[in-house]
Amino acid sequence: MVMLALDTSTRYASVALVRERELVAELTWQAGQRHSNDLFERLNWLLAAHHLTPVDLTAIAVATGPGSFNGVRVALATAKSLSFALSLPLYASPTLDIIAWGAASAGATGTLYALLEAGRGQVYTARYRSDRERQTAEPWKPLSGYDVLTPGELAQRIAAESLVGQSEQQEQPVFFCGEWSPATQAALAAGLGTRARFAAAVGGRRASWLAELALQQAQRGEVSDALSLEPLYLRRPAITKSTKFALPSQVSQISQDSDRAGDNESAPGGEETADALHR
Amino acid sequence: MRILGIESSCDETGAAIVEDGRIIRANVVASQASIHERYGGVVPEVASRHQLSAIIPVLETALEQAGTRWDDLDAIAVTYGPGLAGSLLVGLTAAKALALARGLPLLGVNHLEAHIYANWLRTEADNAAARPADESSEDWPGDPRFPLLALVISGAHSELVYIPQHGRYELLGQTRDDAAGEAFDKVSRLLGLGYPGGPAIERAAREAGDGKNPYRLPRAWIRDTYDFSFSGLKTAVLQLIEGAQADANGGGERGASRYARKGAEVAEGGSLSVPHIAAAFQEAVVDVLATKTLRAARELGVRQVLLAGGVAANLALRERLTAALAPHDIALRCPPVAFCTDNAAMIAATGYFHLRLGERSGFDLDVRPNLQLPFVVTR
Ligand SMILES: [Zn+2]
Repeated sequence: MVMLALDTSTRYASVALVRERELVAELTWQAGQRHSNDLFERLNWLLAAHHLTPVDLTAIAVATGPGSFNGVRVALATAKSLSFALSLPLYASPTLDIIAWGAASAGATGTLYALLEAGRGQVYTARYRSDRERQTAEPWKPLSGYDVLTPGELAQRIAAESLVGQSEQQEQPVFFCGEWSPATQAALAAGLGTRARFAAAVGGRRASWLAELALQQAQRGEVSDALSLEPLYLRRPAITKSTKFALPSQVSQISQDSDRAGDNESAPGGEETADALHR
Repeated sequence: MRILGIESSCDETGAAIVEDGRIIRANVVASQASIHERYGGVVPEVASRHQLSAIIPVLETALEQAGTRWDDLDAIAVTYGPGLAGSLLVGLTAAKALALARGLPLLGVNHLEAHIYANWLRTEADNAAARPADESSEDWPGDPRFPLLALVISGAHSELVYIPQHGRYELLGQTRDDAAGEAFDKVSRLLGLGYPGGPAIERAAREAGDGKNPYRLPRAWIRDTYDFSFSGLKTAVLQLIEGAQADANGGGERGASRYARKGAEVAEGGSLSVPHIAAAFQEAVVDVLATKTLRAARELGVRQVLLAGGVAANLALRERLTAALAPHDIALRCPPVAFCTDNAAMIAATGYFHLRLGERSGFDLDVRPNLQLPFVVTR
């Protein structure tokens, strides 16, 4: 088994090669919004450096978001195409699952919240329970679903959940992992006080965490379909209209200042901000 | 030589397999037009999402249709601009991944150039006879013959281009405001005819019949240049409608909201005839395009004119251009209607001619939403 795992959900991109159950190589870098540009030269290099060619691959793992819409699409378009062209099984994991798995692997215990900035003052989040005797035979999934909400709303929800539980639970720490802005951290700290614990990390996600989840899926036989696999967007597209030509249903154009893919994208989790294109 | 072409610049997901830049072995297009119709334009994020959903099924269908295995392919050609960044990114990323996986050369294709190369595509019927005796020959019987003049007209472009040889483009003139297709869309909305405007106006104009048209709209000739202007025409249509309504109401209406009622009122059949306005508008656009194209063709001494882009599907324009050029022994060539709109066969064809010129793209190729034709400045 030679697995290629790739994750370009946020400004961080990561790729890992795993042979049998062993990490061969891993690259994690700040891709900004140039996910597609750097990815393939690095994949090429990574394979060549380890005397592998694409046809030696036997499995693909991919992070499905949430995150930057374009970033997530780059990962999925790549993973689906590799899986299709090489007839390889495809394993998919939500990005928040990968973040929480990484934190749990690093020793975080208790209640974990995976966080990513969603733009518009909101975060993508999901809650996980990390126990030392965690069963890897069970799928690694959040306790409830995946959400998009403001940090203030998240802090309120956590405080309310604690109130209905045991009294000592009110004092238990809540562990946050992932990527967030200083404003998000401030809002969570304001709402939760000293209970809020933030992963002290330099940031980033490792594709080897994704590979670990994929290996578990492979063992359980949970393969995804390259034809139909969809990203986890968590947000509907905003319908943007141009005001350039004042008709009821306006004709719109690509903005003139967006000659690069990334420039069309707003902050993390953002979608293309360009207006509707005139066909 | 077999090339897999991929097109994802806007709201159409295409994959095609083309042999020797001309013979179509498979051509698959998944359109989102019905989804975007209700927004009156293409919504970028909606388009990007559909591109990702459609790309693998479209690729699989194309390979099946052509009965092609990966080992039969010689290269992968893909649109890298112009278009919507998010949509382009899906096709380009898929193309890079396929090229990496199968060890095939990657060719980034300019979508505008591809509309021109749609003129090299041929249908199955005229393939066999066309193949040259000398397999290595650049030119096949029936190919467009250089030097060429191309009229590129679409929703975003109106350009008159001189092409002395493969890959060389000299800009003669272009629109100074709205593109021709854009003008069609805007006027179509004013007349309450819907979107996209090109086919809607053409249909309505046909209803007007061949009789005398009570309306005549002004032409923006812009003397001594091959440039075009279409925004004045749109204003003229608006004034025509407003004038009629002012008469009907005994006074003009005020405020921006009047635009919202315009189309509906005209369509409800006031004193104006929508088919006749549509015909007058189409006639004015076609008149200017045909006159300038003929003048350029004669000045440059070309024997063939290529029509390219979405508006090239307009039959009134095809007929009028053919009629204008024929007396001067200049032939108009246009792709089959199905290959005027966005498709991947034209991308594969363009990739083929670039591959023959020894070109190929690197994995660092980026999408270029505002890409233009690679014009050389000569005049
Ligand atoms: Zn086009």
